[in-house]
Amino acid sequence: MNAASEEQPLLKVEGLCVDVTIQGRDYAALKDVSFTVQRAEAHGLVGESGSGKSLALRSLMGLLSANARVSSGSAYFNGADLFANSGRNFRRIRGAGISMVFQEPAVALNPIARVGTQITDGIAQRKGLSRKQARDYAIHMMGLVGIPSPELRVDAYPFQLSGGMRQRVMIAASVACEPELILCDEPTTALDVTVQAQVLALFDGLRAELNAGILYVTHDLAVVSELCSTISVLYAGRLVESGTAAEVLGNPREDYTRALLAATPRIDEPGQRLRSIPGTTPALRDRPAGYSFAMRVADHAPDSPSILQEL
Amino acid sequence: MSNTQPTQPASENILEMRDIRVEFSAGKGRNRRKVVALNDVNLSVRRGTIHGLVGESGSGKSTLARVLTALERSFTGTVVFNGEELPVRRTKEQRRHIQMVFQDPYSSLDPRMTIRQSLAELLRVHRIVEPRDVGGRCLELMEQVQLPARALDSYPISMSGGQRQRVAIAKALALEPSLLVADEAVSALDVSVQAGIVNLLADLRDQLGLSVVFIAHDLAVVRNLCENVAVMYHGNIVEDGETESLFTEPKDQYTQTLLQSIPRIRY
Repeated sequence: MNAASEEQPLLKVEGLCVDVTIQGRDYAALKDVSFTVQRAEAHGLVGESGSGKSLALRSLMGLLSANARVSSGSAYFNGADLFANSGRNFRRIRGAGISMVFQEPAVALNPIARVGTQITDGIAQRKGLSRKQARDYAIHMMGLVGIPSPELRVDAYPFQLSGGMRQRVMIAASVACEPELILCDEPTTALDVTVQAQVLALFDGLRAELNAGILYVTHDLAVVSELCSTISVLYAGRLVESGTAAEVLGNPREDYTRALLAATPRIDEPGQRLRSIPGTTPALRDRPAGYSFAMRVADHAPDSPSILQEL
Repeated sequence: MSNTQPTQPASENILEMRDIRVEFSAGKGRNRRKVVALNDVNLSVRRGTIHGLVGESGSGKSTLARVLTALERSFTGTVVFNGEELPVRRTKEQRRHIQMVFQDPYSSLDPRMTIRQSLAELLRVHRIVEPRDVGGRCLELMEQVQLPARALDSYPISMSGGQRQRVAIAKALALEPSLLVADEAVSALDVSVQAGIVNLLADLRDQLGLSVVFIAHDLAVVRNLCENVAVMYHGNIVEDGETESLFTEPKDQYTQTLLQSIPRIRY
């Protein structure tokens, strides 16, 4: 892509394919996945385990493990090709342009560094802040993400904070450089609902105030419904359906989306018997070529009444 | 399962926990302090119902489950089961009646045993059926948890998470308990698989008259499955009542906060 036009989306992913090598053989873990994220928009990437949602996120960040690689497709961030030249290119974009919030803050944070230092590591280097400036900025950021009495906690180590506080620290670290795009990999899955509600409100505030785009990966349709205005549904490495949240959740076109919604317990519609989906997503190695949801349903048709007929 | 019901039902409640108190000491030296994990908790579970237990991490849900299943023995208060007060050290028979299903089915199954071997061992050790009936009972158990008979000869590693959780439930059912304690038993499963396990628990309640203490953090699942719900906060049960009235007219302030925090599909 040439000169960046004003109208181009913040993130444009087209035809993304990721191959994973297992015991010398290549398997297509993601096939032809496309989506866009606009500025100040939260886009939900939804799927069950094995759908490839986290893999999509990691490929954008250049964080694929050694046995996985992008085999084709493109990803443009502000018109810049994310897959063009890896090392130096990514280093310039990460942090200031794109940042990532992981699922488990206990793993993503450095256990032997004070949280304040971890929040400002990136920006201090980028902007040449002094230690005092960096510390003040860390306190400011911790206040912003709703950590009570940040001036007391800025020198704490991760183990001294609760899970919710740690997740806020990680969010503070990821937004310290005011990124234009925040990639979230199930950041609230390990949190209590009350804390989850606060973190979701925080993301929504960042989206509105910083004009940031958010790409939010989760398996939880309710969480997506709270935060995201557009949604893509993945199944077994393929894009099943995408559209506005109202379209996808309110009026789904595809059988898989309908089945997923029917299996999700609704807090507002109690007493309904849930409809489980027979079988599971097969592991990558056991997936036949062109595997689709219809095949999962067909496989299990004999021992269960077809879920598709019910829907 | 004729021998599931032990003795004459003494009351409508299969379980009554009275003034259960558990304290731990935490920290070292000068920082040593007392943590009250359960603060004189009272809980009654009606026979043949599913009683939900919700609350944030650290609120005491799992400690309560451990007291129930005799995994935690240093507590004060009384556990009355089927009208009989259970001692701190329970007999094998008393333990058999209260079974637990854990969050991670893989760590509660022996990876070197087929499902048949796991179940048969339980049936033999607890002398549930005559040795010659072990095979037939295994098949019945598979039917109860809605798994195909061929699953009996599989190892846990070849099964999916949902299937393993069904096996974990089958192992609990093998001992013909009257109370099942499910500690976050559906939390680690995909939503499409979770729905199957939730339905299975409802079926077991309806068909076998099984009583269940269902610990979960997903309130939508609890509302769908449970007749009654108790809300825990900092070692206390702050509210306990019928699911519908608790969800529609929560009285306690923490319950209200909790309910407001639930993400909803708004379309």
